[in-house]
Amino acid sequence: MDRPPIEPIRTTRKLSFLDDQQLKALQEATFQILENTGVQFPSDKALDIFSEHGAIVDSETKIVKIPRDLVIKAMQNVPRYFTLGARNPDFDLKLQEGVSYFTNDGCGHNVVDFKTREKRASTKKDVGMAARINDYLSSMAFSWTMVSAQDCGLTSPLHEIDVTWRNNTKHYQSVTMMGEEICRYGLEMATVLRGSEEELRSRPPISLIVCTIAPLVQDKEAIEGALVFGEKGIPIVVMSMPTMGTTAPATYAGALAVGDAEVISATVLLQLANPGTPVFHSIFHAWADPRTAAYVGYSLDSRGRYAPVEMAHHWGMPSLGGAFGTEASEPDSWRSAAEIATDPLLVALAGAEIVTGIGLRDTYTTLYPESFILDDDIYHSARFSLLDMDVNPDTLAVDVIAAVKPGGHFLSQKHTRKNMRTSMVRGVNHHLNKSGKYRDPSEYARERVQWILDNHHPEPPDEDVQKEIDRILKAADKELKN
Amino acid sequence: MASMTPDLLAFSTKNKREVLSQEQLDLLKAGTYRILQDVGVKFPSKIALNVFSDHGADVDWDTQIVKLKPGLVDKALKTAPRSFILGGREERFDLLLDGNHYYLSTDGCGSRAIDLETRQERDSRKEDVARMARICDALPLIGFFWPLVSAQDHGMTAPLHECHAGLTNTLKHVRGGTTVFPELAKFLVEMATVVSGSDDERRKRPPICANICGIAPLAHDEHGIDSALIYAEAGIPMSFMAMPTMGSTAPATPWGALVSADAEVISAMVLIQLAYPGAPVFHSIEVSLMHPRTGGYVTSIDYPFGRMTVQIGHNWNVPVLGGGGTSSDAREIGWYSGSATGMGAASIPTGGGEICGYLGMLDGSMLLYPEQIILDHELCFEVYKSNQAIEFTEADLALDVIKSVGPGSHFLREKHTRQHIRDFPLSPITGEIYLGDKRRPSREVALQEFNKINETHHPEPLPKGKLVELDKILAAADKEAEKLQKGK
Repeated sequence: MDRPPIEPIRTTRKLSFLDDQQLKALQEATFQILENTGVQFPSDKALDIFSEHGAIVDSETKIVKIPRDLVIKAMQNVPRYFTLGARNPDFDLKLQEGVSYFTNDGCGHNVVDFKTREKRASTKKDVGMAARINDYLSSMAFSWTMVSAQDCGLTSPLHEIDVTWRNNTKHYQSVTMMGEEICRYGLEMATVLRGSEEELRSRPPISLIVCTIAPLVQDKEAIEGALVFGEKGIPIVVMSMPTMGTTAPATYAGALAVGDAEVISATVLLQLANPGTPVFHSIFHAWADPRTAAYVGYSLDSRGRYAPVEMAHHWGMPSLGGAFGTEASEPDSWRSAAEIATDPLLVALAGAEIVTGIGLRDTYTTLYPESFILDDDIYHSARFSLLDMDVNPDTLAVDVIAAVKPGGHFLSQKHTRKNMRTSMVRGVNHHLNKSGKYRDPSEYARERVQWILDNHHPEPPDEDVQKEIDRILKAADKELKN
Repeated sequence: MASMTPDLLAFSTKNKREVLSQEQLDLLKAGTYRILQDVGVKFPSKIALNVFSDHGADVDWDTQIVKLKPGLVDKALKTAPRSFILGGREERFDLLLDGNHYYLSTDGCGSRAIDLETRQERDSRKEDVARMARICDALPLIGFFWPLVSAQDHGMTAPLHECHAGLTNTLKHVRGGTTVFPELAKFLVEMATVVSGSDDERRKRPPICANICGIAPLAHDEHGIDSALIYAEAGIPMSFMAMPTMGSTAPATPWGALVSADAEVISAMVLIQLAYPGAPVFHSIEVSLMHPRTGGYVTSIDYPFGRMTVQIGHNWNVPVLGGGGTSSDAREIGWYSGSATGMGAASIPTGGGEICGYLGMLDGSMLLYPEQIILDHELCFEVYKSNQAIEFTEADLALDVIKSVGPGSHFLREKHTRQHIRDFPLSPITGEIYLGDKRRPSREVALQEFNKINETHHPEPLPKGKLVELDKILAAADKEAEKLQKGK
């Protein structure tokens, strides 16, 4: 069946949250942190690379201090734009100025079962379901691991790749792969899918997200996995998630500086190991509630939410921007919409190349399948508001107005019949029930999910390819689970 | 003792982004000239037709349609001021409409309200207007009080009672004037004069403004136009608002609706400038859509009309009422109203309009839920903060603190953390600390916040003498209305 094309947010307009002087001050802070405080890399492999390139490595504490010149030299190799390949070449994403590609949120661990409405741990089947919904929606330019395949144990990241490819033809960004072994298996699967290493490198169908540990620590498994991907030129997102007051200073600038130093230290490592590795910069900061210390993703003052996009660009890197991720635990409450509704417009105006966040509730942890459709509606509203206008004699309709005359009406005009059904872009809020009243958007969204699951069946990988992937999975299960 | 009304917070225009090119604006303006010259606009008012005729417009006395040549339009609009003041009770609440600030307005004017006590839907009353004025007085982002609902318990003089409820319950500017029987318009001017203290002061810092709606397509209301001429003579600023509905009272294309609406607004502005050159006017267009299946009224449309209407008005060099707004067609507080409010609030900094926002109403601006104003204000405040420059010093970067904590530790015991952890305002609505597993619904928390303000916020009243004067004016207006009623 036909599926809608990808519809990214395109805009020539831009918003700035930081000025040049502030960007320089933040960059200078990162230089100072990297040079004077250092970042811990609990990986001998990483420490060796730093050591070979002249960084100051303390082998006991595993803290690396990186001289400014080395940072500058390494960062010169980071590509500003590159391509994220997809299973279907029509869905390849060429990163470019003025285009923001969005995806779903990740990586949750709870699902509210679509049939029983019971909340339970997520499974491989749920990953497949989310991938299939993603594949159908035009707001989704690529796919993220929305929930984890908790029924697959240690090799769940590989099973998530497998079930995503069976259900989705867009680029896949894994949020859960960690460690050298898992990543090597993942790359093997991607090479089989693509057919050759050259193809894998030029149109990578997969990319990886690795998170740092604030403050100023890299995770051994994450960083070693990233190095494996870097060997093959596969894109990597380095994401820092500092929480003001606990794992970061309780000031915006301080938290951004810590986050930036973490991202840049990992990027430097990846460039020293494999110059030219494509890397995305990403900082998602949060607050510790001063009274309860609870994680707060949305403060009333969220000025810093979009600032990391500009910091990434200042380093000459593309950015993964933060959006959505409501703390509301319900799929369809006022809060679940209001908290996130400002995001897609502002993050696109900030210029983020890729953006995550659609569809989860309860601070990135819980999937209600219908939330996909509700958030998709908010996304498109932002997209439409940034579209270019079409002004011509037909749309101006001055002749029609002259024919109608003052005090008349337009109901009988051919121009009205021709245009009135396209004038209204029906959102989830505009669907009518039998008595002509608007339906509950959540009810409509559930129906839409059911329709997609019943009718949309993306073409799976070729049989031979799938057999080979199955073989790799089996081998991984055998080796890693034992 | 009276409560302190907090200082006003205005949005800066630093993040304003144009959606239309000058070429597109010129094309639209050419369309407006063509409509005014070739099609004309209906003015069912003898006074207006005489004004037009005296200034050389082409007046058809039978159809009451006036055709305006571009030269006359340009000549008249040259006298319309680009910038003027809408006065508050105190100067700190004055709104300077000069294109450099956006002030948020309440929405209006609905006819139904959810009763604060019974939670049942009923016709709106003067007490609703008064209460909302008092609540808005306590909300710093609201600079322009438009009675959210009508005082339907006051019949023909409802607009005067709405104005009275506003002037006596908030220190902020009140949109007190609207279409009334012309015999009643003078009472609104008298009320404004009493609050200002003198004719001069009323003209300098008018405490009220008026809104006059056209009748799409291309017609005006007799009482509306006659009232507008009375307000203009008194120097009371007014917005002319066109409300085209695509498919029924306007072409079914956004541009057709905009050009038709622009012609309506401009024709009224030309009249006012010909009659009272220099009278303060502002431009306003609110586009809606006829639902293709039901014919219903749809205001939530995925199209950046708000930002476009601002540019269209500014292209005529007058201030604008419009731009980003939080109102929606949602019937109740829930996901729909939340998404519409959030997206509307997000578009305020980029869209502008000297007066914008339209906070507090649901169901296509018809239904008042008391707590909605708190929810709307909350989201607008979040956007207001996002629109402010991030400021930091070297001390904020906390490099020494980061060094002393080092990799892998935490900042909990740092003095720097204790100093700054409370710098960030957590939302009183969504940041509520909760006990047990579940947070309360935002709506419930907002209602609690509303009730708190309702119980505790009592702004400085007008001096007793002025209150007595206002009562006398209202009594005289009610008497006049009785006469009008009998004469009908």
